[in-house]
Amino acid sequence: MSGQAPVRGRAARRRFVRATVDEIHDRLQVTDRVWHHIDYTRPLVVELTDCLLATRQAPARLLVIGGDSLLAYVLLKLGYHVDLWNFPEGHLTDDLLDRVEKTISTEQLAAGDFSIDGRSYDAILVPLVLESLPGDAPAFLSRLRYGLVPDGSLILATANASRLDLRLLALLGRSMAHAYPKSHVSFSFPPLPRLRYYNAQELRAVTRTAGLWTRESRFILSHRAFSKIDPHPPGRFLKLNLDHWLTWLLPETRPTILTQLSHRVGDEKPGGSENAPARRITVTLSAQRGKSDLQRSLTALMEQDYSPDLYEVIILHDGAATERGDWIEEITKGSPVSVRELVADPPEGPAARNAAMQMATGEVCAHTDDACRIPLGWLPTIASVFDDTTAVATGPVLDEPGSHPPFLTLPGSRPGWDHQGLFPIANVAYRREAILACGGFIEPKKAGRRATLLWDSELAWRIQRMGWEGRYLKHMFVFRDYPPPRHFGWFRTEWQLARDLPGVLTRVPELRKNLLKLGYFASNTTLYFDLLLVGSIAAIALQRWAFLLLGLPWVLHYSQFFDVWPVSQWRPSFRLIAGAAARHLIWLSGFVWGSLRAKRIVL
Amino acid sequence: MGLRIVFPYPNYWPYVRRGAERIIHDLSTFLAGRGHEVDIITAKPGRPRVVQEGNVRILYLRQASHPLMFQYIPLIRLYHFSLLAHLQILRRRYDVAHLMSYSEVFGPLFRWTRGQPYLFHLIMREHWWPSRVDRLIFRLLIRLADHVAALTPGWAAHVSAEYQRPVSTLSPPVNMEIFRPQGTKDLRRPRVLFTADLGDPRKGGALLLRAWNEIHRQCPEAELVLAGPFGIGGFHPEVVANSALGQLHLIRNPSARAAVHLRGPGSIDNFPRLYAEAAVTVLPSVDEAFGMVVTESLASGTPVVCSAFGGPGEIVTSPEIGATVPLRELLDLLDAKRAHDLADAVLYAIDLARRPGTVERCREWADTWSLERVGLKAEAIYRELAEGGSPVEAELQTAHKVAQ
Repeated sequence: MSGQAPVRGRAARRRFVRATVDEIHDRLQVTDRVWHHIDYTRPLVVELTDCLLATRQAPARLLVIGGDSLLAYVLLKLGYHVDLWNFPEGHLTDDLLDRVEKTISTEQLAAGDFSIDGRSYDAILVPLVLESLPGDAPAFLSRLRYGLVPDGSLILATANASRLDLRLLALLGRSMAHAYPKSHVSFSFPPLPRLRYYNAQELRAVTRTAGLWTRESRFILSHRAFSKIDPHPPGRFLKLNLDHWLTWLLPETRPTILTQLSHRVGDEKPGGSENAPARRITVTLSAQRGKSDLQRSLTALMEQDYSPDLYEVIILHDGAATERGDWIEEITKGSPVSVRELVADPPEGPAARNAAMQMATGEVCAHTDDACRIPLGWLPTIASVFDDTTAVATGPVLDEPGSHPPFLTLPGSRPGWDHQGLFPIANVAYRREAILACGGFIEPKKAGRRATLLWDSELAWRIQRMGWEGRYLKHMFVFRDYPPPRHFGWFRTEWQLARDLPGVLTRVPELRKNLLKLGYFASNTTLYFDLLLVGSIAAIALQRWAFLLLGLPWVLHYSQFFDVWPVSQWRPSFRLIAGAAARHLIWLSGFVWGSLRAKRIVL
Repeated sequence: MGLRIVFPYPNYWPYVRRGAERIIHDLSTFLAGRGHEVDIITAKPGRPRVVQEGNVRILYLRQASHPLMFQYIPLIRLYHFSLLAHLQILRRRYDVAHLMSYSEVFGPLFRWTRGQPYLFHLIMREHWWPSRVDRLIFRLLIRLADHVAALTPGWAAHVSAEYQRPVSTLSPPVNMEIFRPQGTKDLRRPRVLFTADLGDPRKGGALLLRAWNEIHRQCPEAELVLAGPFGIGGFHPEVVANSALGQLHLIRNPSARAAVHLRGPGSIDNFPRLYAEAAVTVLPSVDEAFGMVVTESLASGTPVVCSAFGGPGEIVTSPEIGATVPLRELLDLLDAKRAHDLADAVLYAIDLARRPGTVERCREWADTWSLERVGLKAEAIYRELAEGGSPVEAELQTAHKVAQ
């Protein structure tokens, strides 16, 4: 059974792990109290082993900090090379004590007073230690990163702050002191004092701060309902069983969080860039307008309050206008800033932006377009926001005075002052290495096809899921000019945008909260329109005219656009309301079509 | 001709590592080496299994464990084992059974149903039988036994008088080949060793922790190694808090605390080396029937500190091999004066370990209980029992002499 595990599929792997753990546990040469203590925490050993096997099969080099004897034997049996770090409070068998490489205290771990000795591990397992650290958990985790190979995993198990007993104590207003024992007896995992617990979101934030990507996080049952050798009266015995079954049914109340972490994408060499005195930035400017707009944007970029040798500008254009090259030359004449051109057709979209980032030389790639007016402090703001954990930053995109008003726009199509979870390409900056490592913007399957709605924000959320931080800074703002829509061409564009929205929300569920009303509706007005439609159909079908009252919210909302006096305004007012109804109808058909395709209802 | 001998006992290595299990192991290995067929019937947590160790067959039966059982009637574990062990014994005819204090509550059935001869070995001073039925069965066990033995001559005389029947002495053996001077005894950093059960308050671990404050003050280079097991699973969990295990805070000085290593029992193979490398072994227990820790330590050439009463008091009668402290009852283990006496005794023993010739003297002293001697005696008893005789007369005379 030793060596490579015959793992095919999750269920088979789990059966294999259980059988291996049971077999080794049954033959452990330990005294019976130790045997039962290990038996009590056996589910944690199963979970840790299963998680490890899923990520890295033997042979591999592992570091276990504070495990129990069973875990160490199981890993050795599976063919891993295991280095053990033990705590003075820890209990291991004599064989394993001989293998202990370091006896370390939680104070030393918290203070970072340890070294990995230049070794690199394929995986590091840290079970039930984080809650006992008397200091900074991110600093400890960040230091462990140095011991991981580029594709290594850090498997972390820690007590869950949302577990059932703590919830009940909080609910009943009882003291939680006993949940934080200073000392207890355990011959399994080391009986370290419990100082603080993390809930899942908090743990994710901690690991992100530490520069790690949470690849998987789940709630686990880390111990049995009771230890067979601990005497309990019937009431307590029933309670223990009931608690156990409840936590089995409600995962979030389980006692432990198991997290699998790894280096963030594009950050396999931790600390490599944090000592850089100032960041080099590449600004990608998509030019689709005329000379005046290009001049305004490009001049603003070249006059930035940032050292000219620390940034460059790449201008994306389609190459159709031959004079554009001359304009660029004329605008940049005498400027110390390096300006390059990149021809891409279309000059805006995922393919063009990816190509620009491939070509860039800066650590940070900032994106904007020639519809934007860029303030002087834009680049310094961007340079300052990129710390060791940030991979993407954005800010408000404000309407330039004279822009077409944001009337009847689909959610996500007009970012404003408040953060809606959007990372619009007109005002966003990315850490280049991280972006390239995770594949950049998703390009359309067929070249030349229109990119889907919110293609720019999708990448930002993807990279945040990989352990990086996304920032929204209000002082990283730009002004953007929005032209009025084309007279008749808007039908097709709006229908396509509406069709894309359900798919986007499936791929980026983080946007649902900000972009949808009541979880299903694109806006209040679409909700009112849906009510109007349902009411009208019901009234006609059932001949019950009271159903028409459902359309009242929509009518009341749009009545504000109806100029009652003078009478000459009635006609344009009717036209405006009819246009709104037509737009709602087009959106609705787009939503229905998109919802069917994405299996996600948006109305 | 070889005999078929069975040792039914609810606990055995590696799950329980106390005196009874060491006796069974050493005797069974010795007897198997002399051509007898030896079975050990015992129980273990987890799945049952059979293990063959040389000529000794160990049948591990399933052990009963449940929180409700331990809350109300922990002896169910014993009854359960007894029933299963009986079934095993009934399947195979043995020439003799070696029963110990808690081996077989239904032992009398042997006599009535199968005429199975058995030796009943009293390995405890005070037996814990909570009900009348238990006490009745225990009396029957002694009455119907073909032979009754105690661990020391003094206790044999006492039991003989109490139960009105002859009781011989069969001391626990010490294997002088395994327990011998080995490794390096670093007396610049003298190691004080405690190998008794850390979870049993009667073993006096907490008293040693109290004394350690003083020992460390006077001998700061000394270190204390707590290498005992952690109690028998399920039994007396509440006393764990009163034992050494739950009272490490008794050591107030942080540097003294840092000099304490809670090691646990470790592996069986490493155990003799621990004794040999220690400067002194301490067993400040009360109600000790014999104190195998004492003979094992002496055989390893390490002086001892123990109680002046009970089994250890009968072993350590010379200041050249260790020191004794007057510990008679549980209250003595809470007494500050006794902690002070214990500290003095440990410091004396450390000094003794530094004197030339101590290793040899200790070892010579332990030879009285060598496996060779005790094993042959046990074999003679088994043989007599198997042949229908009783070797008790001569033993009884010896026991009476000692008692007088």
